[in-house]
Amino acid sequence: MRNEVLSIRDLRMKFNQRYVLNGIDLDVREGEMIGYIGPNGAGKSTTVKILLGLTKGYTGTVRVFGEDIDAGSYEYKRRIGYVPEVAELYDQLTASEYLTFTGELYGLSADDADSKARQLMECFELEKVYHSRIATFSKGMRQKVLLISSLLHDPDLLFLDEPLSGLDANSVMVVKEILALLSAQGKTIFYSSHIMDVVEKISSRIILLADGRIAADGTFQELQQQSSEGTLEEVFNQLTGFHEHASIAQRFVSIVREGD
Amino acid sequence: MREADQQFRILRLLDRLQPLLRTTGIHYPTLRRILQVKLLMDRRRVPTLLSNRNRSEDEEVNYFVRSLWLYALLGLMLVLFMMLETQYMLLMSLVMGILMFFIMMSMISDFSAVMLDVRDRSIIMTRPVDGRTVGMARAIHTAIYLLMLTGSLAAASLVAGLIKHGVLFFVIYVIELVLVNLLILVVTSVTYLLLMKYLNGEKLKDIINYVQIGLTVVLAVGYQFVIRSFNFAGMDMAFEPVWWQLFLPPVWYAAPYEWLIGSGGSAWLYLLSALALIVPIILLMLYVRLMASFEQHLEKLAHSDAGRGRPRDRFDRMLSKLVCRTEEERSCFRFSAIMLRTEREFKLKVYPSLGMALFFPYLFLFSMSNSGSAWSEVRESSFFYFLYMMPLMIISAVFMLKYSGKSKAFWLFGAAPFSNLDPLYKGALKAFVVKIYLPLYFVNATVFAFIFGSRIIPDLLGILLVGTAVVPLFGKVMLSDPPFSRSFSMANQSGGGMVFAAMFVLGAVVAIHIASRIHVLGMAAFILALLIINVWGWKRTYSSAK
Repeated sequence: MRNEVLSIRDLRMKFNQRYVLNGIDLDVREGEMIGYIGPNGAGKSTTVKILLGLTKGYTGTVRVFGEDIDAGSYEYKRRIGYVPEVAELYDQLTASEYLTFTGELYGLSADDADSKARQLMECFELEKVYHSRIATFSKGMRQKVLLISSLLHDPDLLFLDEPLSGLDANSVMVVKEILALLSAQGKTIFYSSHIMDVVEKISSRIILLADGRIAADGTFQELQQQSSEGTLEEVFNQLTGFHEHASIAQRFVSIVREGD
Repeated sequence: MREADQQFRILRLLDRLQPLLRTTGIHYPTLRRILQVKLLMDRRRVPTLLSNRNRSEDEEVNYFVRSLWLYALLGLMLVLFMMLETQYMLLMSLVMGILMFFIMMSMISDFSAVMLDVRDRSIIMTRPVDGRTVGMARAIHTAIYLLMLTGSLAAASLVAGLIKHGVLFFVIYVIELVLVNLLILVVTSVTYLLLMKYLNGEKLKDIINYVQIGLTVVLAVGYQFVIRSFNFAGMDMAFEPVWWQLFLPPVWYAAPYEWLIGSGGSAWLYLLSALALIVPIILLMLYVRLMASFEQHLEKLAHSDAGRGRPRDRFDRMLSKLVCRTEEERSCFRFSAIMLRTEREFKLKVYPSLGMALFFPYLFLFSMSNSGSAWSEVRESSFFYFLYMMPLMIISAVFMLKYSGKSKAFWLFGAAPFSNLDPLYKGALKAFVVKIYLPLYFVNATVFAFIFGSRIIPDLLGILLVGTAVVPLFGKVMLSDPPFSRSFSMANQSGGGMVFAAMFVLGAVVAIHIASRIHVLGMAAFILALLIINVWGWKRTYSSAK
């Protein structure tokens, strides 16, 4: 049996009198590649924020690497890497300064962080802009900086929120391959995305969240059997109780075409 | 980017305080590293005021530090107070009051962004860093600037005080400045904390926005008042203890002077002095405890609820039908009206000058009537011409119409099938006149009509028409770029020259106005001419459409 990385029991979270998380139970083991999906507002990013200690005030227990994170500890974050959905960066810094700084926050020495970051930037063919300010970067370049900064300290658990956004097709292939290799070497990855084809292909386990609950949990094949549907997209529609896509589209187009 | 280049003297100073800081349970090396990065970024941040300087990419200076001499100049005013022969209690209450006002003002308008930086959450808090350390870094970062600002403001009066009142005065002054900074920093933080706790993100941003606007206006107007009312002939009144002094921090900070170098101690002075010392320290301890939850609440600013919006453009729709001819212009009018009302960065830059347009006429009136003339004389006088301050201020605001905090969204107008952007120019200028100039003007015109009587109603009409006439004309000259198309960080302040030109034009108009009052027909001709110019101006400028 492989080591437990994450254990969540009866996690509930209330915002403005409304439960966004409504009793989540989840166990994750080393090396799992989890596709973490669900409609907008289902509670995906809230879960991740709780796991990162950004949001407090939940009920239930959350253990990361066997440690209860409610105790106000933050040392467990040393083993976590995070790519947020919104690419917030300190724009005025150069890539080199930013990456060195974030590396140091994880306890790397400045020189180690710097040389490692430079090599990783080279892999993405960004060595020329290593000393340029992030403010001048394109969306794809910023995304690569985010990815590097999440991996610099060799984390054991990764939370990735739309990590491929803004990347060109070639970079997408590279990143997907990187994730597969990391997963094969025992890293646990939480992959959150709305692009179902990618999730379907790379995940070893898929967790579907709807209305603050886990609506489905298993391999892609298991989910397929459960709902007797073909693609993950169709499984997603079925499990979230969404059948009207055709009629909504029809209505939308007819409104667009009104008065023609 | 070698470490040595990035050493900041201030950090070495901080190293000395390390043992004290460690007692709060923070991780010092991390704190130091965070501060270093923040200070480095500040060096590269360019404030709007100075962005037109042609600078090379590598030139790294902290522009805030560069602007400190302005505050030092402002601080010269305090030297005059130092020279006064009066009780310390009154003197220092006044000095500390003025200092606290400036520091508070700058804290809210300049350093709110430092205190409420939400990027820290996703960049630093997701890493293994204690919330308390991040909060402390934030507080020290703000405190560094606050102390520099206070130092510049107080420098001149410190020297003057040392010479005039001696060493003990100087020592008390220095200690108190530190305490005052502490008090202001902690009070502001705790206020933000409470606001964040009970309000949602958008509301909080709005409130901070309005506080900033309000303070800018109060500063500009209040400063004028202080200068003008600077005849403290009646300053030899005696100080008497009154209970409400317990709620005035400047009075607390005046008490030690009276006690230690003035008339000697009394129970009342001991109490006030104790408050001066104890309140900041208790608040600081409270704040250190609350610091981690401050970080938690910042989350609200980063992600605010969409909430339930209400449609509320009925009135704008009506107005647009009234003042615009084409559909395109109407929609541009409504769009501009919304931008003028809701775009925070625009409001922060423009509303203060509108506030001044509202208050400055009274300021001049006040200073005139103060210089000895009786109220009835003012009533009979011609001081209502001060209302021309309004069109003047309005012109400088028109210049700002081309800027927006969301200038990138301007692509929309590029993509829209407009043959040219005249509807946007016209709609924006009309929205500006109808939604901003007219309401402000009517307020002041009504008050002026009460002060000067019905005899000035034709003049009020004249000034109104002057205002509406200059908007399209100066808009045509000054708006080299379409409304809302430029970013504020690109703002070059060359508008100053234009406002100067506007002063000449308005000066000439005032002269004509005065001349026309010689005869009733002259006044009628003046108004008629203005009407014609208005019609011509609004019709002819931006009429290449269709």
